[in-house]
Amino acid sequence: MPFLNDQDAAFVRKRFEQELSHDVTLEFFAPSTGGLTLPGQDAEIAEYTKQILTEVAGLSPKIQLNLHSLIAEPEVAQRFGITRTPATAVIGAEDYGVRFYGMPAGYEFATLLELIIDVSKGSPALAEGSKDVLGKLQEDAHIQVFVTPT
Amino acid sequence: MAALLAIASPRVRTDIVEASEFPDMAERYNVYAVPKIIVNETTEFVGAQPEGAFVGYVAQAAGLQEGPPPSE
Repeated sequence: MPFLNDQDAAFVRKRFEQELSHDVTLEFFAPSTGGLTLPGQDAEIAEYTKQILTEVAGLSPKIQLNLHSLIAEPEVAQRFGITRTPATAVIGAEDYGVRFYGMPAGYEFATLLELIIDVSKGSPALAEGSKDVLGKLQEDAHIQVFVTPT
Repeated sequence: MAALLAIASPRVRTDIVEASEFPDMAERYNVYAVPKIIVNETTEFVGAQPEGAFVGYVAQAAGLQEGPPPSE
């Protein structure tokens, strides 16, 4: 059964048509992507996440989904800084360092859509004061936002 | 908001973490309410914030003193 019903898929497709600018690549990392799979809840969550991302990528020609295995492709995971799964690197015109860890279901499906659209646009409408402060950062900042789907 | 800051600055990267799927991380950072935001392991806050306050927290965590105050 698909994650998105026809009505929701049509809504998301229209948003993508209206709001996507640059192409977006979703680099999805699961413990495994076929063949030998790990049993248990983690594998089920990863599989369901893959289904969600596959459906989302199918709603716009500007979205490409690449599937990776953390186990089989450790060098690719390292390139994207991925150490846990399921993980999705949301890449636009460049890699802005935006990652989603877990399954983007429930409220977090909307979060995923916003991430895709924001990364695609690539130039956030922040206040000038905010841009000034960000431009003065002398050290790196790693933001972790903990969310739940309900 | 957090993702926008990462897009705006090459010094910022942002992870969205589904807490219930990573209980070890949720426990490590004492996530009892969401959204909970951790910046550089040193600064944390809970709940949506106005842009200026959010940037202030990030600036504070990244060692910049002249950011907007977190209470803004």
